[in-house]
Amino acid sequence: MNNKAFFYGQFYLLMTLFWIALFENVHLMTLITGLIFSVLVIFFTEKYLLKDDFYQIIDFNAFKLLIYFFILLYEIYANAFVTIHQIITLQINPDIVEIHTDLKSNTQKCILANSITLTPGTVTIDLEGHTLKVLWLNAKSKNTVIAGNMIKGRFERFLNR
Amino acid sequence: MLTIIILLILLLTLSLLRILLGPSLWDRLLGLNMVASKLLALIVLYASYKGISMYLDLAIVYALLGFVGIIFLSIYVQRKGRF
Amino acid sequence: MREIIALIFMSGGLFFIGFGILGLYRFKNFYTRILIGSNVDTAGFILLLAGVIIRHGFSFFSLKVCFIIFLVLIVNPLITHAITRSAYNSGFKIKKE
Repeated sequence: MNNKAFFYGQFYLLMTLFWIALFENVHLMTLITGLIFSVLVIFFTEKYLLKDDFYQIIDFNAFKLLIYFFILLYEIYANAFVTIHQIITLQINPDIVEIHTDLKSNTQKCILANSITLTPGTVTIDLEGHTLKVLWLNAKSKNTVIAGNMIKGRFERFLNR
Repeated sequence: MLTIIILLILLLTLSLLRILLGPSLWDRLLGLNMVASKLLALIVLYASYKGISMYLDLAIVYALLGFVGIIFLSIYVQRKGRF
Repeated sequence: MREIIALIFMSGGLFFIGFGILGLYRFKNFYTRILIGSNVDTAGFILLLAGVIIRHGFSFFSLKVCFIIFLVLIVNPLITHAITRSAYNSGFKIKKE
């Protein structure tokens, strides 16, 4: 029960923050209307659009997501310089590799696939069960384990924690 | 600040050329994506240059509408016109 | 002083975007173009908007720009994935350079 209250509290606080950013003041009236509208939006989304609870479908933790954002930022810029070097020298070998992931829930797999797409040099094409199909700019190896370790190593180690 | 805005407009024109001479259909979609992302950055930079924060609301709406447009265009191309 | 740091960040963003456009014209095949184009572009975009945040300091303007950065981080991989998947499912072949 405590877990569930924490989960929905994160959503309400984030949406109230967005409401404050749109109105550009922090009066008491803005806070109250923001909280009322965020509760109403989540209630109607669950009742009519989703027909299920958010708590059953996704797992969402704002603090973990914030730490993950900095890891993602580091990976983006480290790979961007490698990619710029490849643009200048034109030493490339584009190919499709299939890699295997051990993550359980759908949310984690979705975050992993989008992170792989966001780093320069790799784009996710397809996701079936536990197999990801990835288009790689400079394919050094077609082996599932070696290629998977080079592409998703740091992301999966953090998400699995 | 003004120099950066002018340079960004120049880069936007260069990426606009890809839509005109891209050989395949998906090259044109890629050009559309790059033009949309540079136009978004241009709106934010112009709002910062003038100091008017109302333009940022335009930027949020433009990002969401560009997303929906490109997604539906690519699905339309994938199903070969039968929607 | 803050203005100068912001200008340095924005110049870095223009550097990344310029290399993205160079890659857009240097490669001959579609798959290499999409690998270069949209992703290096996103890296430049984040740096450019970080410059705007530093220029305005701690205010509501920066909060809105923060929300735009998160929106782009969520939306941009979806667009890239949709275009690539559309080309792949339509039977576009990978060619070596």
